[in-house]
Amino acid sequence: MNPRSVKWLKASGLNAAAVVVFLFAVFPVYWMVATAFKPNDEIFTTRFIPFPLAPTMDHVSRVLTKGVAGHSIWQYLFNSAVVALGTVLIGAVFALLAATAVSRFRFRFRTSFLILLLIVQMVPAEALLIPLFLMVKRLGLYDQLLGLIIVNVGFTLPFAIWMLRTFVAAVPKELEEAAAIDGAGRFITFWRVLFPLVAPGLVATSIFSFITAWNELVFALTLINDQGTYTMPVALQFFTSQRSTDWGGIMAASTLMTIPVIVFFLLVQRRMVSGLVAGAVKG
Amino acid sequence: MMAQTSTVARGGGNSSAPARRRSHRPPRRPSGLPNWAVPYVLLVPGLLVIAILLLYPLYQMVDMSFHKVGLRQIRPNPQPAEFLGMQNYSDVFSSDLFWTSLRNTVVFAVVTVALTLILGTLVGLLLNKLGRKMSTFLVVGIMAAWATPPTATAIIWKWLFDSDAGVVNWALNLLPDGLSTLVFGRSDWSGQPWLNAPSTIYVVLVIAVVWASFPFIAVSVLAGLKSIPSELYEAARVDGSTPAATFRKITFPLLKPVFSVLLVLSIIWDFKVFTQLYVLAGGTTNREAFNLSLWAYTEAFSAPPKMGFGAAIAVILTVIMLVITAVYVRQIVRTEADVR
Amino acid sequence: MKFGKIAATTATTAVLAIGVAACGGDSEPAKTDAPAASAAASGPKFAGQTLTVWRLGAPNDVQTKYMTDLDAKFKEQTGAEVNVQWIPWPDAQKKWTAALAGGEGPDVTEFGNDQVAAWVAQDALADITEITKSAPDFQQIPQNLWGYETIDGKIYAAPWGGGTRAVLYRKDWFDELGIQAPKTWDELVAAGKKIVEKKGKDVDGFAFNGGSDANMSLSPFVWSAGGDFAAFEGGKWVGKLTEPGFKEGFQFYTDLVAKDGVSGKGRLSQNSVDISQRFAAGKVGMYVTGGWDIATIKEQSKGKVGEDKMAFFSLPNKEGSGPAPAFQGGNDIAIWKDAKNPELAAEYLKLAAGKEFGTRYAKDGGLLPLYPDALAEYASDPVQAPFAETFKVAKGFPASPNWAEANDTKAVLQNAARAVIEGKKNVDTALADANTELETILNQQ
Repeated sequence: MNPRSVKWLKASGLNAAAVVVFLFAVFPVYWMVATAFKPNDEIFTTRFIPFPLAPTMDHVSRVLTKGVAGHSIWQYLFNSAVVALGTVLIGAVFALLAATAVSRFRFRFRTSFLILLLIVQMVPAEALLIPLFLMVKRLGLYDQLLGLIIVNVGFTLPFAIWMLRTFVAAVPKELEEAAAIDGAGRFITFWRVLFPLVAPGLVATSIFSFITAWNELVFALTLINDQGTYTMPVALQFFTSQRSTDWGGIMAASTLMTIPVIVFFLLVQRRMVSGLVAGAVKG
Repeated sequence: MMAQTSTVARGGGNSSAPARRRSHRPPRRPSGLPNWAVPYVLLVPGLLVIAILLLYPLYQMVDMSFHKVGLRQIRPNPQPAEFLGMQNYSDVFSSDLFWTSLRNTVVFAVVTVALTLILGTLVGLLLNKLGRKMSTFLVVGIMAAWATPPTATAIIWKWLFDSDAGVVNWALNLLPDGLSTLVFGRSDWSGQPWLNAPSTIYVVLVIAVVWASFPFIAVSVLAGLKSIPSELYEAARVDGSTPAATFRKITFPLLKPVFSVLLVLSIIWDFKVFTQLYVLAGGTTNREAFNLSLWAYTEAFSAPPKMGFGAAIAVILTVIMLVITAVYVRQIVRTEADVR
Repeated sequence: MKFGKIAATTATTAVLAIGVAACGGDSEPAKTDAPAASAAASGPKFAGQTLTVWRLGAPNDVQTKYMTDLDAKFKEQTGAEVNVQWIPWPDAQKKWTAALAGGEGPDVTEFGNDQVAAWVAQDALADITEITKSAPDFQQIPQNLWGYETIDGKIYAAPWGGGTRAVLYRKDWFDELGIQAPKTWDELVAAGKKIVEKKGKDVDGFAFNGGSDANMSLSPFVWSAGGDFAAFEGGKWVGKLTEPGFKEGFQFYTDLVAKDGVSGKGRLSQNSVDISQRFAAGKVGMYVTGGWDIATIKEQSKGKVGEDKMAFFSLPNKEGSGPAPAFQGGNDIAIWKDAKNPELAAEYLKLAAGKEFGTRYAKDGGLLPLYPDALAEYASDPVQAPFAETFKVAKGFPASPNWAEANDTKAVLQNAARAVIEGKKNVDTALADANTELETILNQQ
């Protein structure tokens, strides 16, 4: 066999593996989308129906035109977007600062801080619900999206710092020292040298924060009182009534809810690559 | 913009300790703030958020676990909570539910963490090797898995494993009878119940959670791989190193910090898994399928709310996780080697 | 605010006032002056105030209309605005919990009646004994329907709509297979077996409910055999699960799966919602549920299982001498203890659960009206007749604030039934264990 066909075989092997993983990852998502387009009798069946036999727009158009519990679906999506983006922006800045501190400096309480970051993540969030609820109320942020943003920042920050610090630590310090010798200030160095190199890590953690905040239910339900301020995960709950569940509606709304995340990801993914290129040029 | 931020930060640093600042100021740094203060200033915003939103509530949770706390004790103008000492804890330990929940929690976490990390790493490596188009294609696919709301996916897994209409039983029935008998000891899967007995509920749960969490591991490993300078691989190739040797000698050591973080985080998440179990086990009625989080939740939020008891379970869960991750935590304490 | 002043006048101007409100009379200050002055005298004492009301679920058009009418009438009477917030059913518990902890609750809220005791124990609901006594409408609601709401002689909620259970069955299958509506337990099992035999092994002849609301399906069997769950004796709760009557009903119920095979072993934790979905898919012959399921099933099956194919019969007692006592469920309306204006909340409660709006609430929501003359109309409706009939002998679960914990949090009987069906315990051991646990739960402070 000549080297070219070996290479070809190898590539097609990898591609085949990629397709298998893709199918495993996508199948349940496909099922969600397929269900959103199935008429009710194909959903409430005991037969296995791989794809909608008589596709219908009923569920999707019902969700889009009638909304959920008297409010437009766009209202809920907008609220979710505010919470998720707010969490990502505030969280990214705070996390990057703190990650730089723990991975670039030795200082007292550094170790304690790191251990603390771990411990706070170990506590089941449900157990903190009531104390946190009271705290948010005391801060005057009850029934406000800002309150939800802050709570989500709180829950994603320990993880983000913990994750980012390895990325910061992986950037060779020599680069910064070189910049410093060139006369660049500390924050110029941070911005021009460290930031581009850490960008991929920042993107990974931002995606994580975004998804966490986007899907968060318990606090979105309890910290918000006005229906116009509810987020998407709360809206989804409305499809389950006391005595029946509107599966078609849930799946249609869940599909609509998944699209923005994938769009967000596609947007930042490009940033991840350009961040890498910028870093390579500087390096 | 960054420069402005630094000015503000510098001002704060100055006012707090003007005298010491001068003496510690390194001559080489042109931009103000004394070295010793820099990390603290950087930490302030994050620490503030964590202290207010996590530490203080955490303290309250621990405090609750020593008291008999119902709703009357936490509402405005509360009644005083009766101090119970270790009563809640001894009640937890003497409950039958504790041991089954603990077993479920630990076995599930061990299996799931291992599978998630292995699958995630393999997919991360695969992504790095694939061509641009194929890589984007796969990343979008696994992102879809990660992005789908957990409540929706838990319901979908429940359907896929439905005893009558589920795709899983349907697919297992497609296997040649001989093969199916050989591997599973049976050929007829019609009506096989997956979501009755705790053991099969947990099989489904493992699949559902691995499915939901491997994308994050894969993306993180990919990000790690991308930050390894390509010169290293060039050098290895010139030396004629095999792919396995390259992974062992270059990739793994350089990604080790990423891996250890992912390991600890996976342990933490899988110990606390809640939403998917809640849906798959059909709410809180199947006690044999409880894990510690679902149990703590059930005690604290179902009527009558026993918040102290629920808090005690949560504290125990936290301590167990601390013990399990202790090796890693000790490593941080001992070496402090992360600073470069 | 202006509406309030207009609206809260005498009955003669009320019609006009609603007309003005409906036309968006916000911009007509000139007209308001005269009525407002007279209104002040006749008592629009709550003008300008707002009452927060929590309702559960997502409103459909009928319910939205109901709330609009109710709130308009309320404004007419009191001058106060109503702020309705709809709370999703799942997790409603968390919402109330947080509301109570934070003092940010509603003024008036809807409730499941079996939750009242638990929330009273948390001091969440206001005592409305005086209010119910002073409202003539409430005197018409039969005494036996105030059981869940009365705790230590005080009333904490008003029943809003009732629900009892009967057996929903496939009428077309019964006709096709020549089955009569069962009159005894033996006939019930025989009918179930015949359905499984003719309609396929994956069909439940009589579906076993082992999920969150299992006890409403189990209870008619144990009650009609003379058993009960527990009784309050000598200052504490005594479990009655080991007594012969309970054992007989429980044995029969688990045998439906274990011995008679009229319900699949693969679905031991299904609740009535899961079963209704299988019913819509043509996989269930009979099961215990409420009248609302007919509409749900028709919709879920896209009309394939329509009204003509479904009917109810009252579950018989063992020997067939009459209907078995069924579980009495339903929804209540209560005043939140932290209500900012209890007096205003009381006005709302009286209006909403009064005869006019109370009856409409029940009818719009697919529940049984609590007012006897409205209920009497149901007796002539073939679909509702079995309910109207069993409603008279309906019973409640033990009125302990801890019952909810035994019922679905700890799921004592569901777990006992599962252990018996899976052969892990025999009936005696399972019930003895369950009894000990039940007593512990009910007697905890």
